[in-house]
Amino acid sequence: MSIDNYEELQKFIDLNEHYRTYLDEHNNTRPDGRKFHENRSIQILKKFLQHSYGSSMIRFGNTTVICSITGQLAKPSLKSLRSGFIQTVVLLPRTQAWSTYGRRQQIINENLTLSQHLLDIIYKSKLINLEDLCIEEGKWVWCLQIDFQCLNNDGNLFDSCLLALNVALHHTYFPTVKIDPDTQKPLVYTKELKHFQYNQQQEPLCCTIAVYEYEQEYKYLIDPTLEEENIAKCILHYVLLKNDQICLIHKTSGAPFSIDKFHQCYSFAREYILELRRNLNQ
Amino acid sequence: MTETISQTNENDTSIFSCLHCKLSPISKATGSATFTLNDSLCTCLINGPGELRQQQDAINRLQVDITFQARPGNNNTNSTSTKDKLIEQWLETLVRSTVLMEYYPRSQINIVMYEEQNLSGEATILACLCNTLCLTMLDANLPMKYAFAAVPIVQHPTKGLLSLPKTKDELASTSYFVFVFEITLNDILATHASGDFDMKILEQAISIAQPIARQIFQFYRQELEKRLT
Repeated sequence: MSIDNYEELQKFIDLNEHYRTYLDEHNNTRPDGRKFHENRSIQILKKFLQHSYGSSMIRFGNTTVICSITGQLAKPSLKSLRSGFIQTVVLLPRTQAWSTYGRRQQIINENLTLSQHLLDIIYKSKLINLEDLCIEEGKWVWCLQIDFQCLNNDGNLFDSCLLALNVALHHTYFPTVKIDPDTQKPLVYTKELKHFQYNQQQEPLCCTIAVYEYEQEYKYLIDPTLEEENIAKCILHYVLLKNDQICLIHKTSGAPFSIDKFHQCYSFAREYILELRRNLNQ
Repeated sequence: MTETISQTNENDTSIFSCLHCKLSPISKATGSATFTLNDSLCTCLINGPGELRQQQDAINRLQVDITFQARPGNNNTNSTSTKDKLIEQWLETLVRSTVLMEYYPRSQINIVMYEEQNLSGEATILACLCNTLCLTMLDANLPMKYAFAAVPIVQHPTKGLLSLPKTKDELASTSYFVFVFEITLNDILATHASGDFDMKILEQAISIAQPIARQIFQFYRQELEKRLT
């Protein structure tokens, strides 16, 4: 991070002070030029990885996330003979420069919590039914590996990972597997690809809101950058399904909220996610 | 104080039969508490403001180090799963926002939480952990901005919204809410709500949870009074 001019120096010493002076001079705009409720430009790239069954790359401004879906054959557990397995892993390779933004352990913890959030959303919104992953009951099931590589973290990883997941699932093709009746071994036909069946009705998408306190009232920053996430008093995640039902609300501690603030954030989240869905369906 | 207790006489026994607490079970720690909520039991201990290890970077505020250990043997491995990490991170934000961190520059506190028993699902254990954490911080006499209490609420498919649910009800429920209330304004500090619901149900859940949070604060007061007499 270069410290060339006065602004960069101020950001390095005290990020909070820098934000406060910026908001004092220009009201209703954030340092990167957006209004409080505006999101960054979104770029979507589908099906670009050769060896995975499904893949996508999402860019929210500078945040870049690659989602890749692969599958492995496995024996089902004795508890439920028809269900497959799903494993979500969020990785942050060393393409990040984190000399100023916390230690590696903190960032690893963030990724673990993000992996767990995504797995919870998949189960709770019934996006992928575990029974769909069954090949032959009691013998072979698919173990779905969903990997997220965050090439550049500029805040708001949750939204980008969830959007990447939706885009990747839409274009996932699995090879057909037949069980050889003589040897009972699975035969994988890699050229006969069929579209992955998942619950396309639910499209869980997330809206991350960073709550910043300025002049005794709360400003809601939608789609926060990494700096905004660091200075925020608390962070809210709203995950909405296609019919505007809420799948997950996760609010970290820091700013006490009353019921009407939840309603306000819900309306922001709804508009933002409507935008996202329009982008998704293009 | 006595007037509030006599007003809620009918509900008194029902709430207080779900909650049990023991303060300072671990005498060597700065503060510790064991808390029971229905069928979940948690212990938490705090080792008070002490020296900072060299690599940490807390220059002008307290460094908080939370470890959460789930019941070993529930999952197949011994290491902390991602679910436990999620709980750890959430509780860390709770501690950071309640403790007055500027009072202890260049020091660190270590908080260790153990889940000893959890027969029901996620809502009860989350709420139990939050309440244990608050009681431990009160026991350790850490300067806090406010005390907090967590209330679990589940949405049962036939019985509707239930607060402080019993194990059978919780395992059959579709969505759950955990609200952390603070003592002064009854505002919500933190939430974790998961399932399939809309804002009306959320509002109903908050309105059910508020009086129960008040009773949990009463319970805290009773326990601390017992300790000081």
